[in-house]
Amino acid sequence: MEINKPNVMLSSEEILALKPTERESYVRSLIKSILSRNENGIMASEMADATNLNRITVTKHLEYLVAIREAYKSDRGAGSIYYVNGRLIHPTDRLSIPIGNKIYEFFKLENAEGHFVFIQEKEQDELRSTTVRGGIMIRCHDIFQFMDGLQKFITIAGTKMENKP
Amino acid sequence: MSAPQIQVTHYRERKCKFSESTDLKINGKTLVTPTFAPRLKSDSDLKAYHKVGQVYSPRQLSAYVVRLLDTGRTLHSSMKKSTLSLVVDQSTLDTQFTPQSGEEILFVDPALEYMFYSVNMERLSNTPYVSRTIRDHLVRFLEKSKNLEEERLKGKSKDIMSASEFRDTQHTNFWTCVYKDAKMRMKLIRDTFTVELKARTDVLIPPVPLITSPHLLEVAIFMNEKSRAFSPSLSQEKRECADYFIIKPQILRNEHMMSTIKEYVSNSESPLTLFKFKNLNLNDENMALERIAFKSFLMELSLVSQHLENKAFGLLEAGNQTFPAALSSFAIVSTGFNLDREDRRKDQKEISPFMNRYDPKNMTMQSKETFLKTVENNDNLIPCYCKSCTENPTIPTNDFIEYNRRAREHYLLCREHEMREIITAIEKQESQMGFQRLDGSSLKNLKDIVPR
Repeated sequence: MEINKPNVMLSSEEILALKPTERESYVRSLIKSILSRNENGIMASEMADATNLNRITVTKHLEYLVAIREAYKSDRGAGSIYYVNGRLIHPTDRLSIPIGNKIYEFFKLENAEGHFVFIQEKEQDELRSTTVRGGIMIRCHDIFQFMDGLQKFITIAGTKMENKP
Repeated sequence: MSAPQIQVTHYRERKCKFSESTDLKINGKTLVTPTFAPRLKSDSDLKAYHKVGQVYSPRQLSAYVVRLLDTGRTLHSSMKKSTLSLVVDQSTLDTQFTPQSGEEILFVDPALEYMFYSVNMERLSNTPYVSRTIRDHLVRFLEKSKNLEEERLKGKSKDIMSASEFRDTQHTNFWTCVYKDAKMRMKLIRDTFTVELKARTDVLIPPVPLITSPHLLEVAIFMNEKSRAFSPSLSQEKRECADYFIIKPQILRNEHMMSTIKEYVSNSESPLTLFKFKNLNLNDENMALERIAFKSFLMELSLVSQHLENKAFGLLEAGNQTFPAALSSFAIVSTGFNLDREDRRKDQKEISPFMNRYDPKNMTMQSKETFLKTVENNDNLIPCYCKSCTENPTIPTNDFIEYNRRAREHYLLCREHEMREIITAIEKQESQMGFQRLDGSSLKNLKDIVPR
């Protein structure tokens, strides 16, 4: 299967010329970009071949993306196939709520496993650039059950929750 | 899950032949194109620009351009709060950047053509906002040039290179090193983008050479590609990276190079491509060949922008070509906001404190003297319908501060009016208006570049 990848990528020499934090960030954004161009999923080995990156590095980044719910994986026999978490059902299906230095973004996504509400936690630095800290995916038809659960939890733990900033 | 940072929305009813008005969304802010983006070079320019924005809310002036070498004196804080520690190559500047007021779109232009042209070269070599790689090269270059000049004056050697040959060679050598050396290249891109991001640019513009030869075109394309590949990691995918070409006007006559640029632009993934034809004046009688080439270039870009879903073009330092470029699908047109002060300095021994004024009918600048005569012949009323002149129809002849303030307001509002005229003509399917408008101006020769 042919892998869709960006027209231009940095060479190994250029990647080596980056600062460690930039390198991490570059590799992650490259992997995200390739994931989003291959909606039918991609294996870590295919990604490594397409990018000329070490397979362990690629797997580490893919697993991180799975952990923060930017991607999900399904195990198939010997390996796992990684998918981008989904695409917006409609451009307006998103909401951003800033609280303190955090931003909570809500998306309605669809992927091969159905429709989901995706809540992502982001943090903003002094230059207003944001870093994804984590996220959860809730199936659309489970969302009210989830809300009930959250409401119950707030009632139980309510006395300990303070409204102070 | 990040949304695309640049989105072009086309409307069927906002197209007319080679002209189009689109909605261009950059970094969450929407422009109705064509938009005039003045190039600001000082804090006072920025204040004047904001003042016009506050008082007159001009819709077609929602963007502005600041050159990298001007970021210090333009965006440097007249304002408070957002103190940032800016580090470019070990030199730390405790800098306060003016926080953007919000709705305008800021482009920070690396303007590396001054590595070739001597105007501003010294400033470029001194400004801490430019990568040390460039500054070091320029310091060496300026020193060598001085030595060469001294040798030439002493007549030491007959084989001394001419100043322009020396400049061309040094310029090409520098960019060849950048092309070959990955470390140097990435440092140059990183340093440039870091300052652009700190200045809170809305679009990243890559550091590219002035294109004077096929080799430097290759370097420019390479720098655009590499900058685009690197940009998401530095901007956390929050700023789109534009393609950028700074072209020497003579290159317009080189069909092969122009078609390489057109081909690259059509295939590039970047939704925004910026062009700058340095010191181009197509109204000049001797530029007939360039006019033909520019017309074909405009036609090509117009077709690309109308047929590709997410593609827009901008023309920086558009000069006299501002109006015809906006008419031919350039979404953003930009030109200086200094009202030709530098030109006046060249021509006149004494520097007049009065700025030139824009003559909207002729689409050129006029000196104070000519302007006063025009007003005198019009019963002492300014013959202009811009909001600023309508509110103050007489001129403060002796107060140059007030005169200049109003000249600036008038200039911005006139340009804004031109952009609105274009949009209205497109909506009425009368883009022919632009042709007639040029025909009635001092820029008659520019009729030839308007695709019809």
